[in-house]
Amino acid sequence: MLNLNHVTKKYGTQTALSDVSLTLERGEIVGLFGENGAGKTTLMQSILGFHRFEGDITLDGEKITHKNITNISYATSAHSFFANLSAAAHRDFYQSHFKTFNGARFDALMEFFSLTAARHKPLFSFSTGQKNQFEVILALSQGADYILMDEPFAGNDIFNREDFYKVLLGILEPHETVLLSTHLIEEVSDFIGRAVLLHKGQIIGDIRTEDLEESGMTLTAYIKQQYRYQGDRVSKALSALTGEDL
Amino acid sequence: MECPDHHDGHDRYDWYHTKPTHDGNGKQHMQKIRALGHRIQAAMKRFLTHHTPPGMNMRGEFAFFIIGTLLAFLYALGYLVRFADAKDALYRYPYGGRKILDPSAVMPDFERVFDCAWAGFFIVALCMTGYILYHYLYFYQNTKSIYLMRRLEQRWELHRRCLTAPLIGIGLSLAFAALCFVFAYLIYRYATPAVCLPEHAGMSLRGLLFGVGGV
Amino acid sequence: MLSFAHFQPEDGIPIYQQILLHVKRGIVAGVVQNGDEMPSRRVLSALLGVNPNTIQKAYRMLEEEALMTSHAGAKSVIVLDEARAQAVRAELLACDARGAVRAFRSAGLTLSESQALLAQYWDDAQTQPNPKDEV
Repeated sequence: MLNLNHVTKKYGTQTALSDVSLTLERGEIVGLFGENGAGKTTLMQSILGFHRFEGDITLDGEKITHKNITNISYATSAHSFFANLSAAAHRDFYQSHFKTFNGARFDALMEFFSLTAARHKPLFSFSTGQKNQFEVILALSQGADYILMDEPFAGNDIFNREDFYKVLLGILEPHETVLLSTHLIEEVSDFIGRAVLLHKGQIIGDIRTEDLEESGMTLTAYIKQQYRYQGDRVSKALSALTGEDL
Repeated sequence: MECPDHHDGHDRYDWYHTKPTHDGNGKQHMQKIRALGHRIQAAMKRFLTHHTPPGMNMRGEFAFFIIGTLLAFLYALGYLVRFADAKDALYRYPYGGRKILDPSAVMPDFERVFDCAWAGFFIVALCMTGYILYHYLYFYQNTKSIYLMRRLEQRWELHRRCLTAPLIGIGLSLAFAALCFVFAYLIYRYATPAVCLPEHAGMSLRGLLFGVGGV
Repeated sequence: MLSFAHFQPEDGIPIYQQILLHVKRGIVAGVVQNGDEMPSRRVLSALLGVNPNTIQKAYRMLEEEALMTSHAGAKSVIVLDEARAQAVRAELLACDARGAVRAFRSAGLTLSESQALLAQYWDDAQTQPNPKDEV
């Protein structure tokens, strides 16, 4: 279980995360949605301990330190691999630094994305789409129980992306948890089991797709509803202040 | 009858076994040396790949260090010239031929003769600290591999890779500087006629580090 | 094994219901028979690009409707006899009929007008059974 408890992150006067409380159970596939600057990246990077923050974040009950950090993997559109090294060299690096590294899964995914032939070429020679694919391969092969993906498909065409989702679903074990932040709402709505909405550092929505289905709303409609609710709050507050009917 | 003793220590039935020829012995020797050389090379390569930023080409850095150290060494040699001149000034040539020591002449202070001969090595050391920053910045260039380094179980992995080579460089530079100082002082102390040595130490820390204007 | 090769997800209907419908249409068309294996939850999830919870829900409903049995460690298997198949057929037909009736009544048609309309289009080429409707 990954638990965020009243997490707040401020940069001087700017608030990136405001009193965020969230629990991810093992096996969940959770979509994290929000406008640019909503705090999605800050949230993920706080989990990884890249930022100091107020509140606490625990992984299976323990604070997140170098002892259990390897149980979380990270894929980001900024790419976190070594551009000068080859895919094969990364395999070796991961093998020697992550006890849970799954070499078989790595090889299978490389094959699936047709990257095996290029495994000795330096990664800077890959196309953006291929780099994204490799970044995800690393995150999935690390052997972590919690996989954080921060807009990992930026720059991949729709066929690539659909392949992503399908292979992800086929390859994930029941105990593996995915937190995926993306702008592609409808595309991932079947793939995720739960949607969390972030707006200006606050969680304004958190619903299981099962419950969404029961209500008959699409994910986009739900998101719009939650955002409008936020908008309503603003106009209601202004109305109260100015006496005008906004 | 006593059987003849085999002083060379070989089994008398040795000729049954294939013996290496005299040449073969040499070949084996060369093979062993080459194998050892390969093992050392492999060990060095392994050390490098584990103690430098992954994927960074260290050749430029090495070249810089080697060339910088050579230049520093050449600069340090200037001391010998200064010392020779200073020593020469202790002598007089009254008859234009042989030289005679003037017992009242005093060798200039050591720090004056030394004149920061070791400065080059300190400059190289300073430059190596620049490489430390360069190494850390490497993980923010192009891709954010810093995110990977900060997720490792081994907390010191990042620092080990960024600091090792520059610290070795700094250590070596400081060692060379120390050696330079020691040799220079020994030369000063023992190559100067005893009667001309000044009474006091002839050096201060400030003078050694920043110079007092040469001879 | 039951094929989902021609499964096309539609908007507006929950996926798990669509999966149920897919199986039932297969039963009606005669392509799905007693003893046919269902793909494993994970395989179907990956095939359709759909969350495993959704697949789980669909399978659970199939079991509740006694159309499928699951045993731990083994593939889920279709359970069907003639009576059950007829019941499914009747159920789907009832749904289609109800849908048509709803459409005609909200358009204001009488029963005889609806019957005439049906007769008019009965032989139309466009309403012949489409091979794509078969699973």
